[in-house]
Amino acid sequence: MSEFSESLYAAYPLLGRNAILLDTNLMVVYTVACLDIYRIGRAKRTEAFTSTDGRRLLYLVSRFRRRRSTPAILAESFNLLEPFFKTLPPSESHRLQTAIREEIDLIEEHYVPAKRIAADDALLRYGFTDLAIASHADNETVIVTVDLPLIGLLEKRNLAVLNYNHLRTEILR
Amino acid sequence: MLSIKDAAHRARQYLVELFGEVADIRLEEVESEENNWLITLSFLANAPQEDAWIMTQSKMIRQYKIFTIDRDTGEVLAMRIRTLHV
Repeated sequence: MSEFSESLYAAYPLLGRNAILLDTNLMVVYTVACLDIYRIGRAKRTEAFTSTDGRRLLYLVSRFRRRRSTPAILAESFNLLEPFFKTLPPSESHRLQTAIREEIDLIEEHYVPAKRIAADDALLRYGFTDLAIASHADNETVIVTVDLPLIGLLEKRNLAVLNYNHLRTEILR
Repeated sequence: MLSIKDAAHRARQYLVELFGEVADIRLEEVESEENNWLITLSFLANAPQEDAWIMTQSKMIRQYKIFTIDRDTGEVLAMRIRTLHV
């Protein structure tokens, strides 16, 4: 896995934090990667990513001591993946369910009451999922996403956020 | 069928043809829409300055452009400003 190693961490110091939180889109890619990275470019939901992204995400997440998420991210990811789940033969279905269960065991869920989110002036623009992420203010988590408007919101609120697409800017070269 | 990598290259090539060798090009977004790739790139460019004397104090700002690229032909169909309202 040396292809993603030290230079990445030197270029993006936020990756050195203790905890990672993947936004919904990346959680979907990560979940498919847990089954088979070569399905990533072929599944409709993940066609904007490649097997290299799957390998990179598996590697990145494994380097963090703590993994965090929110109930909304997990629910959204699962809903988005439902059509994909239906395409799987029983053996792979079983393997993926086991992988998801093991992953969920490792995740610390960050719950924010809906009434707190609804009080946020940005509710109609960003919705519950993004604002729950935006309420995740601590000094040890890096939020990784490909959602440009969300990145803008998080940066404005001084949260540690990384655009995953920056990590794959090398494809431009 | 154009790969993501090829689509990103086409977007970069188009950007450089229009703006010249701009600084610090980054990949910001990759999305698929019907038969097109939507690739957002950002880069650093000089901020427009009204006063001539300020021109010497060049200030760089990050600009965002979104490219629509045909997945079959690789043709760049459109380039728009990617606006971000926070």
